[in-house]
Amino acid sequence: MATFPLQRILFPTDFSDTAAWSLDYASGLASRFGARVHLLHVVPDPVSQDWAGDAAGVSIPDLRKTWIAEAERRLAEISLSGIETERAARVGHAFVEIIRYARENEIDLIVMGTHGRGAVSHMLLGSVAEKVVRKAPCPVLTVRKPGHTFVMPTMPVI
Amino acid sequence: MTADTLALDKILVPVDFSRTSELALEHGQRLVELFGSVLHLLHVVECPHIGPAGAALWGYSLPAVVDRLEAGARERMAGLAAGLDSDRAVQREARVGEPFVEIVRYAHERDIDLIVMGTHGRGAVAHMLLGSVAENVLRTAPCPVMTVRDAGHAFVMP
Repeated sequence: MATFPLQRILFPTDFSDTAAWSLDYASGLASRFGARVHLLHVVPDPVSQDWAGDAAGVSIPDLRKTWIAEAERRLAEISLSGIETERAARVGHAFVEIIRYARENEIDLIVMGTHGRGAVSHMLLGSVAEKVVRKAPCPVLTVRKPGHTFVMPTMPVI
Repeated sequence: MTADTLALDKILVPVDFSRTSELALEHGQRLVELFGSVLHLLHVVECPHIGPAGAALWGYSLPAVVDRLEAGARERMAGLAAGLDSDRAVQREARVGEPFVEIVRYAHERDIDLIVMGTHGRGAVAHMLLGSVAENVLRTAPCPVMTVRDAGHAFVMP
């Protein structure tokens, strides 16, 4: 059984508590497999046209550079002792950039946290996580922060 | 929890004897070896949606049919476990019911640490689909879930 050579683990983070919680899984797997962890933050791009910035008197390309620099600074604060780590920040749609990164870097496993927020929290899988699970070229480990409960049906199904 | 203390004592691999679930089993087995976990195999026999009265109309007994399906599943799981080429103990169980409910129920009952399962993407809009069983498990499982997709799936990057 020679499959699953786990060498590169992608950990997309939005710097939330949920992401921080699931980081333990990425680092735990990396340390067992001797894998490298790629930390990725995607800054959601609010505007696609640069003229929209011109209209408001700001330079969108400059803004993107500022966001990337800030994301890189925050990524640098995440330290995984004893694990080889790479960091990357991108601007775009989160799930598209996560998939693109996974392909470009031949990622073997994506580890990501899922949110279960709001009144119907049990109905929700974070929409980014859901799309990543559907489109990823590799296995995806989704980790939900504790506090989530699912009430089991009490009646037998038959 | 730190990198070295990530404990995956019990890993559940739900199997439906498809190629995708075999792939999930290969991944699960790899994790079992690295983490020294106990592997749990679960097959859920979907109850034929005909009901006892309907079955009687056709001249057979529903419990007898379900018993046969269960016995068949146990036999095939024994085959899967034997093919693992490992001396580790494997817990095997066949249950009757709605697959995702029984998978989540089993995970609750046995305090499973990780579920590894395949996702199917079948039909004309294959790339749009996540196996609905996997999707429901992701949303309701009490533990992290690793989804494994059959190779051959392709997502066209925007």
